[in-house]
Amino acid sequence: MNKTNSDKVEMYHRINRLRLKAGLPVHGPAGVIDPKTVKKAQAHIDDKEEEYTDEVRDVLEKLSESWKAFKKDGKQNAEQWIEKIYNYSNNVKDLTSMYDHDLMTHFGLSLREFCEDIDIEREEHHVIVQAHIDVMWVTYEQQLRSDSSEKAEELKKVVAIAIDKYS
Amino acid sequence: MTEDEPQTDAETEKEPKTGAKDTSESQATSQLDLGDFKVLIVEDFPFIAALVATCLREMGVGKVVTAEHGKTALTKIQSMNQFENDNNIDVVILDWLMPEMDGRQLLKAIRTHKSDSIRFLPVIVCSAYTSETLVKESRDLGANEVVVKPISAGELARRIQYVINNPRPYVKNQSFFGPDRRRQKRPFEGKDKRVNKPQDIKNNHEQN
Repeated sequence: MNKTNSDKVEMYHRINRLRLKAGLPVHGPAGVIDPKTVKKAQAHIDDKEEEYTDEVRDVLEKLSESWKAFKKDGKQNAEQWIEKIYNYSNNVKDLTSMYDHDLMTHFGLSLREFCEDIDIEREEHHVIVQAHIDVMWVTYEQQLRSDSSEKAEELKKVVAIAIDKYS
Repeated sequence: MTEDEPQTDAETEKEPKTGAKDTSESQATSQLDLGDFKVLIVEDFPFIAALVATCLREMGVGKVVTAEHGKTALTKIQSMNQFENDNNIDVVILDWLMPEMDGRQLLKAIRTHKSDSIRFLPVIVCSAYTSETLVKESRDLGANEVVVKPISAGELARRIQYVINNPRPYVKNQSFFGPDRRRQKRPFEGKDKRVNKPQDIKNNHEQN
């Protein structure tokens, strides 16, 4: 069988520069990051939970403002606003999942996924976005954390019904 | 430099920094000194970017640079890694979902760059997507490692250690350039080199 260009495979072996830079010889036992520093880094992540409330409020406000702007602008800049909503809901999800606020994570993820397939011209889809934003604020205001409490199930149902009915 | 040319003997035999453990020492694990490392965090959410940056500094990383999306990251990479030197960015921690230029596009731009100090740059993808599809997609685009959010300091440290201790050879074919997607049992020992005969590649894999 003739070899063609598409069959050509090249393999590059390089000196391990990172080990040298980390103060180790190229070959030798695996290097580790000082476990004490890793513990301190994790403690920093844990300490930052204090700022969670302010941070999540900030993102929810930006999310709500983007949604208001979307409704105000009509078709103009619609895609740009939806992209912002997509990114903010992703931020909500990232932030809340870090500190185990499972219910908010659920809604952040749900809204982000909905934005991927949203039809911006369908009013019904607008209802679904609004339902997400409403329950996110309720979750925030009532400081609901678990996604399996009675109240959480109730809020999840609100969104599920909106999606079933209007999508 | 567009090709990975063999290095000079002087570079190949560069001595480790003072105080580093010798190869002949026992199998005891050695501590990584990240004081000379420069890590670029590409993350659109300032809270997470600041959190990761502080974690890295706690772990001893000397310099942490941040970029809010792929576009600014690419500019920084191009300016800092245009030529290979001690001030290069050493590792990129890359968020997947971002406005402007996302992780997918930036990774592609890195792996198709003409400069060696950019296209061989280790990239750790950091994503909230936990699906197998994301892992496969990021690997197919040339990611070295994938970390699933939420981030923990332990997981971040493990991935950085892995990138430092177990660099995989890079493979180039018609549709892919990036770290070999097959994990190696042993690290490569020798000078920088490029092989392109199928038999050489097979032998290398068997040896490693």
